[in-house]
Amino acid sequence: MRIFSIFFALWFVLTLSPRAVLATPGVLTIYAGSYFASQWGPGPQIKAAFETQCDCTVEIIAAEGGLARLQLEGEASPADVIMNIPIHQITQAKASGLLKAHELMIGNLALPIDWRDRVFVPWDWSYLAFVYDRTVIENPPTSLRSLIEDDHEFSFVFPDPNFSTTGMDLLAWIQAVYPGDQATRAWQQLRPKVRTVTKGWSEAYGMFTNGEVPMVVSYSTSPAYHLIADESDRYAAAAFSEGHYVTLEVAARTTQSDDPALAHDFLAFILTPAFQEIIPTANWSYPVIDVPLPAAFDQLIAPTRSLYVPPDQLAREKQAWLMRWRQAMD
Amino acid sequence: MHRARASRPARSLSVHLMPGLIAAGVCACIAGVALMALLLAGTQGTRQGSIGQAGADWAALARIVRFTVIQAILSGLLAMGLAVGFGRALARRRFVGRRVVLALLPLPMITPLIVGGLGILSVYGQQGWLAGYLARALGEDVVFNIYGWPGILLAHGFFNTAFLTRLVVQAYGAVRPQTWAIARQLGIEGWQRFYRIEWPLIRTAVFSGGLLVVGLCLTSFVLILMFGGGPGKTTLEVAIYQSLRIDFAPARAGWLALLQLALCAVFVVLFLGLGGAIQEDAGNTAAQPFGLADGGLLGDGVWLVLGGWFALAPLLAVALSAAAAPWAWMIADPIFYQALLTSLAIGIAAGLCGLLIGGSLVWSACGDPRWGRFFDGVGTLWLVMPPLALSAGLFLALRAVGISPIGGGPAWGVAAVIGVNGLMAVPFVIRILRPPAGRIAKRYTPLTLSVGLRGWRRLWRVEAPLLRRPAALALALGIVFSLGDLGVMTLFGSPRLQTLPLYLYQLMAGYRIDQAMAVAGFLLLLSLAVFAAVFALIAGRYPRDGGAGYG
Repeated sequence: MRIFSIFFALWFVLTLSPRAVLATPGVLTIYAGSYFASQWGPGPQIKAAFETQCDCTVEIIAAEGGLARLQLEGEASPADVIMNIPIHQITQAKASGLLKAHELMIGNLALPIDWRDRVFVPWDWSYLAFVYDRTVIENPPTSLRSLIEDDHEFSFVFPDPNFSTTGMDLLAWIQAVYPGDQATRAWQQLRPKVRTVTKGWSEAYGMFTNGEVPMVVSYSTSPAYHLIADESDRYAAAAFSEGHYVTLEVAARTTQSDDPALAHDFLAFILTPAFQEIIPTANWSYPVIDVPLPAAFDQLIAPTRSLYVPPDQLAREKQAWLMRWRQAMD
Repeated sequence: MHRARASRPARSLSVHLMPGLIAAGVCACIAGVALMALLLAGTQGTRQGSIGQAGADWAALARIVRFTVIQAILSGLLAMGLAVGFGRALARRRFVGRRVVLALLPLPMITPLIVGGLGILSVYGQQGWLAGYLARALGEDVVFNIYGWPGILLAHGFFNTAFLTRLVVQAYGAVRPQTWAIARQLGIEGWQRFYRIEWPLIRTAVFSGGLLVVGLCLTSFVLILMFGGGPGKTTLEVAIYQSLRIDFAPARAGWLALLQLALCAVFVVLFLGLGGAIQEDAGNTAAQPFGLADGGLLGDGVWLVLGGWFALAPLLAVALSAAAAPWAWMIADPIFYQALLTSLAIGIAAGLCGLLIGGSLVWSACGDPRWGRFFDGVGTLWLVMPPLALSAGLFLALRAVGISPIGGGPAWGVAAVIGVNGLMAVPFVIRILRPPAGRIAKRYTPLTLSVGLRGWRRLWRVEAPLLRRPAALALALGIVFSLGDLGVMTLFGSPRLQTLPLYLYQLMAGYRIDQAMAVAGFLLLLSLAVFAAVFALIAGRYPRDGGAGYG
């Protein structure tokens, strides 16, 4: 027992010993979502890939809260690059003055939408989709309108748009199909099919794979995980005829970064195959440039139409959408 | 000489009050600095720092407050009712597996919310055990919908009843055996005996523990979202979270946190009035044969099954899915060990920190009963201090004085995580330590004064040996609370700070739910091991009889 306590004491002192993270030359600090930064996410591979070509050390920090975290830290933030600001916050993020233009020429991206932004560089994308359990639902609806307006026996869960980007994207998808006030009626019709609204994607997806609900709002690329890692085709995304909402993740460099050139290099690196080849099987989403995809991705739905609400409009209207959603669902 | 000095009230007063005043001062300073930092940061946010923006917001806020309060009261009442029935039956009966049940009682409260939530769904959900059983029994499909109020109450009941039950069992264990003998001689039986004799003896435990449950439910939001069935069910904590994470309006978060503290203060006063003031134990706490087990076997059986099911079935569901999950990968993963060690180191430090602060408050509360309620109140308010608001406030405050919690290396981050987790354990520490410490103070203070034993020497010679077991329990709880906590971690995250709950959530976020369940199972086993180890190190042995084993 004594040996253990000495060991713990040592460990503790080591953890506590101050290390200067800020202003260390040659260190690129990246804020990302906690999954991205984890050993299962793309973080470690991307760190290794960039370190072979940059003569620097990459630190990927699981910084939940994205923009709020950056705002909280202000000038003191060690972040050079931030990768987890959701699309609906990028207008607010640009207005905060905390981010710097990327100064890259962004051409030919393999995105279903046209992306032009001075500050943000897209690093992955996917379609929002209703993912269902094929052992329970044999004939999934073939359109969003059918899902909303027809009677169905199944129910589904989705994450709260107040907390989750997935939830916010669903709001935008429904607004895109039911413009303006029509969405109120859509939400009211959807209400009986909504089992519950969880805090995050993980809770919702956990309820789905635990069998509590046969359908969940996730991504068209989610079944790829089950196809590849579980070798199972039990879960599939329902293809909707109106088109699927395009959800993407973006990165930017910070104003207070002590090495803006290095941050710039990393943003450029994002758009190279070395980065993008990691994305499909580590982040379970699509790369933003043309790189070979695993065979299992051929089995995924391929929507012919894409729906998308530009960030500025999203920023302008999201409060009204949230209000409408809350009132209709209540 | 010693004797004369020791009996001078002025000197002994300061010895009694100083630790508690220092601890209360530290608490007040940390809370005050954090809240002030939030309120003053208002001008930086995208919104100005008022609670409501317009009339509509005020109406929405009133609705949120009403829902927050009502669900907290209902959850508290449910947990208190179940805990009384279940605890009474556990105290009255001896049966095979009783020790196991008692040892498991602290676990639900420290189960990571997402895991406990999935466990609850395995039992009560659409495809859960109950629905499956009913479907087989009735021969047709049963539509089982727990979402809404039933789900919220089931979830809060699961997470809180078990701990409260343990407090009730403890209260029964502290009753003198003579009491039951006298009751029998006087022919007081059944309901009369419960109402006239038992209730006054356990009321303190029920209400002081009930206050904890109400406080915890006031700040609940992950469970409320998961089981609420829709966005209509939101609590103040949701609003605090939103104002920090989405709108970045720290001042708004600060005001909402103050409102939450004020609500809790109302409950503190209310529960103190109802008899929740923590009091010293009345009698002997050594394990004693319970002289009450006459009759009522059927009723006790029902309570044991009902309470056991309610408090432990979801835990069993978690254990079963953990047992079925793949394990080998975890043992081979070096990052798992890193997370384990970091979690344990932070947990032990946080547990000690909570024990130090809570112990100081208890020391002073017992030393000068006139201040007792003040110190208890200070300790209790920590329950509803929103961790996110607290850590964000501290963050801003540190930044304002030029210390960068991030730039200075992970040291500040680690210190903040330890401090916040430690403070969150204080309400539990005082509830565990206060009753036996009060009894000891009452019994031994005249004696110690007469032999001039004061301060550290008294603590070492009198309190330390007598309070070993409750102190062990308080420390173990503080450690396991911190082990299961994710909240504070995410704000101060750094590449070096990998903890077990973070590890678990990262697995969940990456589709690996099976593996996450294995980690959850490990966390529960680890918590049991922490209890066993802390008791072995401090109390000498694991409590053979968890019921009376607090003192």
